Amino acid sequence: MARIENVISAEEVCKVFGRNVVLNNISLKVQKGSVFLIMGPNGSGKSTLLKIITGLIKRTRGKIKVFGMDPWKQRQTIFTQVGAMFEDHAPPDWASGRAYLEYKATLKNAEEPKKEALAAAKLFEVDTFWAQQVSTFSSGMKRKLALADAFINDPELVILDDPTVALDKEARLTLQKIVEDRARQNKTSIIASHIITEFENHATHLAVLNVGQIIVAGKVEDIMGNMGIHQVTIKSEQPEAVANILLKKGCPIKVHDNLVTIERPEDLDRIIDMLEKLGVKAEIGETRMNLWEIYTKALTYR
Amino acid sequence: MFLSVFRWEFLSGRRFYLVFLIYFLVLFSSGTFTSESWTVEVKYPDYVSKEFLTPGSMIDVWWNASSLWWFLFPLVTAYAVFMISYEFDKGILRTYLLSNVGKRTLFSAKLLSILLGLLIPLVASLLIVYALADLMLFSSTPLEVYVNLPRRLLMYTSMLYPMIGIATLCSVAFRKPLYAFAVPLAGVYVLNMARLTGISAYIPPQCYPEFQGSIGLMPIGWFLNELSMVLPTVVTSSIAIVAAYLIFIRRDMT
Repeated sequence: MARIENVISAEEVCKVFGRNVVLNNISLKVQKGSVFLIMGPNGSGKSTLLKIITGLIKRTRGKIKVFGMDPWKQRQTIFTQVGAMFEDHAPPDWASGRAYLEYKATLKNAEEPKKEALAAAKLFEVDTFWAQQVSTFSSGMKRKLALADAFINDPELVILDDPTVALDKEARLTLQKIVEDRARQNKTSIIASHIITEFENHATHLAVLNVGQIIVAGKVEDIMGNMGIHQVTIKSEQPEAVANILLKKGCPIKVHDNLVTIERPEDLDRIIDMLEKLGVKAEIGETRMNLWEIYTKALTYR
Repeated sequence: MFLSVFRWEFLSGRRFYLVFLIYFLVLFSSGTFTSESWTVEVKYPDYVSKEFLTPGSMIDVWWNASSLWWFLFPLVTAYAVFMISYEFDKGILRTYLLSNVGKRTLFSAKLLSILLGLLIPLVASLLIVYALADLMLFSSTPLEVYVNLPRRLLMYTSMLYPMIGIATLCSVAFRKPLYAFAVPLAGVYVLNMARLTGISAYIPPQCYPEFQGSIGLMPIGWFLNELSMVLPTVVTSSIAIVAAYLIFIRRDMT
């Protein structure tokens, strides 16, 4: 069996600002090549967690390793393999986009900074406006610049905090494509967001944070399995009989023509057995939860 | 790495030193309106001449006496603090730190670029004002005029350095710009009240023979006395810069 390589490993990480516990016992592992989606409402601790991972913030307690190194002590070394952008990315407004990217490529020890900066700029078409000063950029242009910055040197691990805010549709699609391609190349992406739909089809792993704690974490498919089926539709020539049986069991149902819909059934296998025993012919279809529903359920039932 | 960061900070950054250049030029050129004139006896081989000169009036800044200095100083401090606060803005620093650059390198390069941002306009304005004003006043040769430049530079730097140190500490330590402005201003005023002054006294070239044992223009004793008065503020400022560095290295980049 192939050994699973963890890019990030966090054990019981806590962060306290004054009297405010921002992160409480966060433990997670991020596997190489995964697309790890971190979801949570505002103030749930997503950005703080990412800043600890990138070595910008020192954890109060717990252990964290990024590529086997302590990010607070070895941030400079870690960043040979990491690219990151945060929601409040603030390039100096007096610089041109081009000068800024070339400088960042220098800071990231690129062998040919100008070439690397151009390659990163082309990903999001930043090179079409990068001659202008950053102060003249719109918020969308600034976000594209921040994304290009994160992808300089094509790093092994990319950390993106709310990357799609203010982005136009084309840029969102480009970002999705890049994340998908990177996963194919066994490169890791961590994306924090409370807008889930954009990376729903690409995420391999998921962590839901709320009030500084992890509510749900793991592989998306495992979570989908564990969190249950969202909806079961029973198609039958005897919908009234089916409805009566289910009502007697206390299941909330909806009947429409020959379809009976059950919301979040907890004992689906027993229902199927019962219908078979009573000789009711039925076709059963399942609708699984999407990430948004998992997220909502996780926040509700924590 | 340090050279790349320094080059970016100094050459590509906000050129706030241009404001200081204008400031110094105005300051040094306006001394005529703020200082008294002195009567100086100039001895020539065969006669003695009494000349009404304005020693230092064109060039010297009297830390306590010049109303212009006092009028402009808070403005300059405010501007310096604002610029230093901008340079140490957490958002920009965080953006830079998402790379292989070390905190130590970033801090050193920023501080050096701020200090040079003050020194360069200072030297430039001294060179300009000396060349324009002094020759007209004292009919000196440029060589005689410029001989005192290094010492004057040292004096003025020792006056500006406390402002930089305290402003850097406040910019790093305080989140609120008001504190970052008020504290260094109050600090420098208090230091001044304690008579930690750096007066750059000027002696016209015609009077060199009167001051035996002087290096350049100012007697050594006088010069050392002035420097020793400035020393506590320089030490204070250095401590402030070290404190700012330690805070910067250890704090979170939230």
